[in-house]
Formats: sequence, C-alpha cells, structure tokens
Amino acid sequence: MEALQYSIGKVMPFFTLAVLIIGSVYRVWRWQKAAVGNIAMFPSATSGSQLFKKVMGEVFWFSSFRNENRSLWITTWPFHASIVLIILGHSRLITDWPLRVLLGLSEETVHSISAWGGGVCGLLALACCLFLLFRRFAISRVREISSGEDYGILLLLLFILVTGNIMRFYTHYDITQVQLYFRTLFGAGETMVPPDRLFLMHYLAVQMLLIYLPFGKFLHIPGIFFSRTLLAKDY
Amino acid sequence: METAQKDTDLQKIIDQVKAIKNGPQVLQLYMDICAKCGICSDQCHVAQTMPESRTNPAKRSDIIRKLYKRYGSNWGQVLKAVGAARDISPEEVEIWQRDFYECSGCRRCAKFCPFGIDNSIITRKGRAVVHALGRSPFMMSETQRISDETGNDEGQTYKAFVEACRFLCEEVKDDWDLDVEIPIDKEGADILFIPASADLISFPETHMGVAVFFKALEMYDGTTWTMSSKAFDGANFGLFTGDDPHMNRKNQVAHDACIELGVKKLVIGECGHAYRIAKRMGPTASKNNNPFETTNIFELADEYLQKGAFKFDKSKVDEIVTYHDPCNFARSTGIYEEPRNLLNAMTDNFIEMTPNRTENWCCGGGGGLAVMDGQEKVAKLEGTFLDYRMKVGKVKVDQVLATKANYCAAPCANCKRQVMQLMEHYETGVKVGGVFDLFGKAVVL
Repeated sequence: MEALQYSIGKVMPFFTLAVLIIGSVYRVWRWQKAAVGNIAMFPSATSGSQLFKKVMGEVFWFSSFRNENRSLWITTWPFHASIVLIILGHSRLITDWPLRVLLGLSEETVHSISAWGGGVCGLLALACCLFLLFRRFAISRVREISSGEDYGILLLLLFILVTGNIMRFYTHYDITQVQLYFRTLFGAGETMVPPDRLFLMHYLAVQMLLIYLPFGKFLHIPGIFFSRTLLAKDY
Repeated sequence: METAQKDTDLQKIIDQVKAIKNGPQVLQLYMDICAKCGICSDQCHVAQTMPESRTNPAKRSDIIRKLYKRYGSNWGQVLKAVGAARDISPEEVEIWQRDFYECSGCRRCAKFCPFGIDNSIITRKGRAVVHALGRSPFMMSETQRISDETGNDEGQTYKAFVEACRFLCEEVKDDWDLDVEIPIDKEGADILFIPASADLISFPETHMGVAVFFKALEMYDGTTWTMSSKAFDGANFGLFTGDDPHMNRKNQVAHDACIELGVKKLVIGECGHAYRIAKRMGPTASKNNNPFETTNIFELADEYLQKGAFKFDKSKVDEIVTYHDPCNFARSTGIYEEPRNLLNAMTDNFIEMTPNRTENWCCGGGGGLAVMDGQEKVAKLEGTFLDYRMKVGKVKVDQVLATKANYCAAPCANCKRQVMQLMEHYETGVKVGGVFDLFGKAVVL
C-alpha cells in the first residue's frame, strides 16, 4: 500500500504531466508543420471573423451536429460540457481560485457552488457516459466501428465518474487533504499522499486517461480546432 | 514470382500509409481524431442501402487509419492490442480496390461529422495507392489512357468533334427553330467553353442549350465564345483515381488552350468535377495570376440573368422540374443559387428536393463510379458496378419521387448518367437532363 501510494502520488504525476505535455505538443507541432490544402466545404467562411465564429460555434456548441442529430446532441453536448465544468471545478484542488478572490466569494460560497454544481455535473456526466456506452453496444452501425479502444476509454471514464461520485455523495471525502497534497507536490513542504483508497483509484485512473490522451482518439480535443478550420476556410 | 510481387505491393502500401506522417495536414488529422461516433453512417447513401459493415464510412477510413497507427508510430503494437491498429492483410490490395471504389467521395459525411472529417480525402488517398499499384478499375485507367492519348475521355478525333458540333447546330434548328453556331478554335473570342466531352455524345441536348445560351449572350452584348479542338473535354479522371500527375496534365491542356486562343474567360460547362479542378485544384488553370478568369456556366448565366439579358417563354417548359445538386458543384464549389435562379426564371413548376443544397444526397455515381458498368477487374466486387449503383441510388430515387417532378435537372455528366439509369431501372418515368436543356427550349431570342 505504501509503495502504491508513493508511486501513484509522488512518481507517476510527473511522468503523466511529461507525457501529456510533450505528447500533445508534439502532435500539434506535427499538424502545424504539415502542408495545408484548401478543402473548403461550401458555404464556407469568407473572412477571419466569420471563420472564428464558425469554428468556435462548432467547438463549443457543436453547431452543425446540433442541427442534424438532435437526439445525440442532447446527450453528447451535456456530456462534454459537464466534463469541462468538472475539470474547472477540480482546479480548486490545486490553486485557490483567483476567480474566487476576484469575485470576493467566501470559502463557504465556493463549497456550496461545488456541492451543487459539481454534484449535478458529476451525475449528468455519469448518465451521459452510460448512455454513450449503451449506444455503442446497441446500435449496430456504431458497434461495427467500435474497438477495444472505444469501449476501454468509456469504461475508464465511467470508473472515474463513479469513484468521483462516490467520494462526493457517499463517503463525503474531505478535500483539504488533497489540497494540501497538491500544494506540496508542486511547491515546498513534505508531500503527504492521501491514503484513501477510493481517492487513489480515482487519481490513478485520471492519470491513465491523461497519459493516453496524445496517443488515441482523445486527440479530437486539440484536433477539432484544426479540422474545423480546414473545412470552413476559403480565402 | 507472384508472391514476390504481392510482397512488394504490400510493402508499397505500408510505405504510402507511413508517408502520411509527413502531411498533408488534413490526412494526418483524419488519422488521429476520429472518435467513432458513427454519425457518418446515418448520412452516407452507401451505408444506408448496403447492410455490410464495410460500407460504414468510418470503417472504410479505418482501413487506412488502423494501418497508419500500426506502422506509422512506435507504439503500433500497443495500439493493436487495444484494437486501434491492425496488421496488413494479404488481401490488402483487393480490399482497397473494392472498398475505396464503393465510396463516391460526395463529402456528405463531412457535412455532418462533428469534427468535419472529410472521408472523401481518405478515399482519394486509398485510390491513389491502388492506382500507383496499377490496380485501378479497368474503366478508370482506360479512360485516363485514352484521355492522355487524345485529349478527351471519349477518344473523339478532331473530325468527329467538328462533325458533332455541326450536327448539334442542325438539331437546334430542327428542334427549336433557332440558328446557332458552335465556333471552334476562334482566336480572340471572349470565352473558351469547356464541357464534359460526354455532353457532345451522350447528352446532346445540354450542349444544344449551351449553344443557344451563347447565342443569347452574343445578341445581348456581343460577347463571343469558342470551343477548342484541343481542349473540349473538362472531365478529369485524375480526381477520381487520385492520380495527380494525370489531373495536372489535363488541367494544363485547358490552361494552354486559353492562352493560345487569348480568351478572357474559361467557362466550364455542366460538369461539377471539371469545374472543381479548373477552379480550385489544378496547378495551372486554377492559378490566380492567369490572364484569364476561371468560372462556370451557371455563374456566367446568372450574372446575365440578373442583368435581364434573357427573356423566357415559361409555357414552353411543361415539365415539373426538380434540381439535383451535384456534389462537386454544391459542397465542393458552392454553386447553389445560380442554377436555381435560372430554373425559376424558366418555369413556375420548380420543386426543391429534400434535403437539398449542401445536404443533398449523392446520386450514387460520384467519384467516377457513374461510368463503370461491369466488374472492371475489381476482384472482390460482388456483381457489377451497375448493380452496385442501382442499389445505392435508391436513396436518390426516393428523393426524386417524393417531389412528384417529372424532370430532374442534374448538371453533371456523372450525375446525369447515374440518375438517368436509376430512373429507368426503377421505372419511374422521370426524365433526366441538364439545366441548359431547358434553356434552349424556353428562351425567346
């Protein structure tokens, strides 16, 4: 247990960060240096501002997808949006929100925002994730293009969401330990890895996911900016 | 000997797939970012009409994607273990040959993909590799050979071309009682007109309509036109086979003809892919610094229509007309409203198909498939290309029938042939032609 705690908490994070950053930068750098052709799909953007609007609409609102497959949009957009919010929420484990200071919120207010917002997002993401997994099994056209990677990633996400939700709703995990851990991991002081098993499992799964990011289908996160720009740009 | 040949072929495939690492950007992205959501299969006419899993666009693209991940990276074995990569198969060439010619490259999936993945680009890459191995379907490579030899896909001689033009002028006189001429190699004309050479033989009414159109133009403001005996075919199979050198050679022919005749405008006729190449993909005729402007007959006609250059007798068009957006005119070059403006000016009985414009369904004959009837030496193809086309065209047939129109304007030689055959095969009684077929009929000179 000690050794596991040590490796997940003190060794792996640096490895994870290194792989995530170097891997992603390498990918984006390779896309960046490759020759760009004009493959515009019409109607296309004709100016920089139009292009910006179009690409951002696709990235943040899934706009063309929204119009075409509303029923899938209703699950995938909340899925992505809640995960983004969850990631933002987790930032308070590492840093004392500059936003909190800026808005003059008290710790208590942040706690209740976290309890409500985080709780809702956690459950929403879980429900959507279950639906996506179900969809992958149930629809034959989706099943036939699914590989171990697709199922594996959904299961990993599911695991992360379930452990996270258990910590929030069932064991009511005390985050001050984690806050202390992160502050000492990157700053001064003796690092104490929280011994909670659930936390360690959750933490390990998240790191696995981050390590996988530059290698597999998660590349759609940085990639969409490039591919959408390519398709919309004609000037 | 045969196995040695096979091994070199497989090695070539691996090399070509690995080369994606060096670009272009678009292919690299498409290899990396597909999330396998499956939306493309709902939007592909092939996947909608053929139940086989290989017709799923994401699955077809996976043919290359999984090889790229296996051989193009250092962790190919790991990705293979999770199913994201695969080893090359001994039947690889045969699979590519069939599967990449079961995609018409219409780009409808790209319209709907959340990431904008354009599977047609992956298809073209696949076809390029097949072509480099000398395994393009027979009709494809044969057409390219004929085109390189004679300058046109039909292999027409100068004499036959001149004769066809003369004959069409007579037909115009007979059918519509108008005197037109089709000038050939007239130096100093304003416009060089290049149709698909199939128009001259298979769809003469379109070309007759075009001749009437240019007559109307000349009567309006003295604009003169000509055709070239060296470049009277805009069709370019290099787009379909992925053979860039061929595409460039044929594009050069059009460019040289424009320079030689000293025209101000290169106008492409009712042929979507010809316009796409001439305007956007060709290395010479598409350049911005040419002494001539590259446009197409719809933009030209619409420009004059807005000026009020034409008078139409709407009673002469008694058909109920619908319009099929060819993929290369619509999604790939943005010609949406111009043909509609023309049709609306010529008839009150114009009905839109649903969906239309950027979301229109492919006719099933795109990507050069429309010209292939037999098995074309594609070993794994079940039945013939004609069987295949009639099967996947069902979506288009339903779409046309829903409009209750009895004339479908499909301004692209490939679409025309495919939709015509579809309408006969399904015994719908719907007539198929171009937009300019109606122009010749309706215009009052």
